[in-house]
Amino acid sequence: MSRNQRKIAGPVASTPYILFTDKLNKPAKLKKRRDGRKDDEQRQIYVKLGVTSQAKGSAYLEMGQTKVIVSVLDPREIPKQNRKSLDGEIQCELKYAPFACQGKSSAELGANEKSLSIALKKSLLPAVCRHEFTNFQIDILIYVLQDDGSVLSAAINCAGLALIDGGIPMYDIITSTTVGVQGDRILLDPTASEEDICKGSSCFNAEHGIVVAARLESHAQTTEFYHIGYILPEKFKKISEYIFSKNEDIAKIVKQALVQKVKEHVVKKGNKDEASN
Amino acid sequence: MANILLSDAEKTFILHGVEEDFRCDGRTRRDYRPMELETGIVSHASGSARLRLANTDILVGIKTEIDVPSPYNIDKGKIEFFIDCSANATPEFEGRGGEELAQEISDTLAKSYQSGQAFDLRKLCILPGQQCWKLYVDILILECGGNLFDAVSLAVKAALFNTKIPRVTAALMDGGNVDLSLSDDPYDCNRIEINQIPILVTVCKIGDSCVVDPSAEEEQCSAASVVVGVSQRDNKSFLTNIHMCGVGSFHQETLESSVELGLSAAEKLDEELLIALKLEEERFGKYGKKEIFGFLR
Amino acid sequence: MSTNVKFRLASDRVNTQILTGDRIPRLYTPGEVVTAQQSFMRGHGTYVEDDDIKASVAGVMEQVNKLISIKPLKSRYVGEIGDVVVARITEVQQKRWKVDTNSRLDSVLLLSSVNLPGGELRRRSAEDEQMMRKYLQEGDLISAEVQNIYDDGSLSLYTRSLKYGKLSQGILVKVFPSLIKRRKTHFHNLPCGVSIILGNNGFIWISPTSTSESENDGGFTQNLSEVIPRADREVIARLRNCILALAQCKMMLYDTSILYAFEESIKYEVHELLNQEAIFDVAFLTQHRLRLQEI
Repeated sequence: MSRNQRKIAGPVASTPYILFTDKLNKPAKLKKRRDGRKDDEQRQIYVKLGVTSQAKGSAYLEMGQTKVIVSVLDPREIPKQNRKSLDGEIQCELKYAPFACQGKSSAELGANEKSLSIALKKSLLPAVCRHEFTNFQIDILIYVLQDDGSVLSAAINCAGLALIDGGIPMYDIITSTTVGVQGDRILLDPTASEEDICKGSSCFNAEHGIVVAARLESHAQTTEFYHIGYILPEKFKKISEYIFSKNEDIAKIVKQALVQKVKEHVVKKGNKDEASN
Repeated sequence: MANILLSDAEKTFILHGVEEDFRCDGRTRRDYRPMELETGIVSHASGSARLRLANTDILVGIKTEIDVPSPYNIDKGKIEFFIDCSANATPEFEGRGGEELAQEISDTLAKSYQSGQAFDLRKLCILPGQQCWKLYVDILILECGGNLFDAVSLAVKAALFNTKIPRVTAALMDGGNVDLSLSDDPYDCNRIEINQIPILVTVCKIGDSCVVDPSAEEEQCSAASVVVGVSQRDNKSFLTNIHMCGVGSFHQETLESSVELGLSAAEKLDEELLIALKLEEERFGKYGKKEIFGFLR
Repeated sequence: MSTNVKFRLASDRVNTQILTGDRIPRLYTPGEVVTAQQSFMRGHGTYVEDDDIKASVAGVMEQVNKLISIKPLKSRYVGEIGDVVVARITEVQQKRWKVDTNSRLDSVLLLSSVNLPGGELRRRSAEDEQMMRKYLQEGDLISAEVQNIYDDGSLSLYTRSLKYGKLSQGILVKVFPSLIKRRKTHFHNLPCGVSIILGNNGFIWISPTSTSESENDGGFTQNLSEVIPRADREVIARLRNCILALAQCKMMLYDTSILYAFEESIKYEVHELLNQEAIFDVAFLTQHRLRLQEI
């Protein structure tokens, strides 16, 4: 909640040197993905649960070069209550590390943090059994260590895991996928530079866009659907089906990680029991 | 948004009405309430419009200023949205109450205008890398009666239609400084092409059905809604953004059908808005001074 | 099926003031001397200064014998004993409900002022106190009568009659309390198959006429599974729009005016009644018919 006091938010006088390199002359169209992936290939995902000791639940997630840490704090009573809410509340706070992106000013990041926090909160709310902690709120802290595209998806996936790790009752597993649209191509899990092209403020003739969807796995409910760009309605239908099929793949990874964690726990416990015997 | 209490029976009545496709005020699920529109009512702005939809009253003023293009986009102008949810609109906006909502609406608008095809910022460039126009779109919410997204986007589009940018007669580089000269004639100006400018439609999920333009009571009955941004180009509708609001979630099929509903509503809205704007211009002449009717009825 | 969208230009705005025509009565503004004579008593909306009675609100003068009061058009409801009101529960408290009646202060409904299920005259037990939220909860609408006015001006209501109680499915319309004409009865079963309750506090309740009278449950049952048929729904929506049309043109609301407006509106589709032109037309024709009757 407290902003970084040492940095004065205001017009930045310095400019990133990247402007003077030829990197700026980005192609308006993408031919081949730079990391050699196929269009429908997800980046490698690495997940670890219970990474911070101070939080009730926590998770770390890597999707290629996008890296996020999420911690879930203990539920606490809602301070300064002005009206009684029967359901529990969720508070999300997403922060970027100052070095998380290349060539973005801290003011830009700040605005981004706000809208991502709101989007994250909206997508997580329907997944949590909120009636089980009346008048309490859960704080979810997200730290983006590195942003290389698909941040919101990474944060949602990671936050879902952290909530489960923290033992917060959930209706379902929540997963999210990002997709970039560029002409006729649909790029799964775009990187930051691919996202820039797909956002297409410099694209004047073809369809383009970015779609993020979060979904509750077994209920088939969409908790967040977010799109910007310029696409035809037919494309929207196609993407929404595509994105949901891809979500299932992520759900598998999430389940696997959860089962793995429990297994480790059981083994540890077993070892302890043996030792005490 | 507005916090009104409803009894279960009233909610049931509204819910059944929506299912029946006959709402409490006699509208079908896809009908809008009548709107009132006036452009050019703020004399100190380059363009302005006021739109009233039932109890929602929106005033938009657009100011044009000269700025230096961003180093990332040297050939583009700039546009900035600012929304003021004054406490006049509803007591809930008092203090910082309206801030989050204002942020959400301006974000959604900015995202909707982001695509180069929705709003071509190149047209606002004067000298690449040196000078460009910057449009400040200031939106005041004078009265809040629900369905803000739709009303704001329509009012902004009408204000952009009304905006007059002075014509640049000469732009010269003079030893590193830019020397601009603008036309003195107030009637000699550029207009903004508004055909493909997107409008937003809020589709509200009530029960298993979806409605457009919900009244405050209907908003109470709904847990989730989706805002769809639609832009018309070459006689086709394009989606510029989709954004979900509220605490609930959508089934995939419901989501698809609500986007469809939003699309068809937006097409009609767009068509009618253009007709109304052209009619007003015809009636009062392009630049002729007209009587101003004013706000808040 | 396509979307109905209508943009009206501000220059086409309908001026509903024409309806009042030349019939504007003398209006007083705050600070204006209403009468200098000492033989009068000051009522609501006035104050006394230097032996003069002056207006403290903007409105018309009302004189009852020696009592002079100024009545503003737009005001909160000032209750009188015996008034029928439609009200909404806002809070459940110890042995009482807090109720919103559109008056300056919250009104109360005491647990002892309602009919409880199982006989009119039974004692209130401790269980009843715990069950209060079961009977009426926040947001519920009731019809009631003003039983008493406390010193501070807040009202105490009661529903100990079969005609009062909890309201089921229907629409609530809010208008200025001063537009409701005081009559012998405020409950009307209109011939079009719909009942309306014209609350003196400006809340109007429109609902389908119920066929079976529930007995002995104190009127706490609500049939939420019942689906109102389309035909009834259309009449209810039409009535709602008619009442709002009359209210917008500042015409008094009572059974005859509402019924006339309803009949004049038949030529329009229900949703067309949201348009200014239709509103004006209906109000104008209604006024015309009412005037014919006066002669």
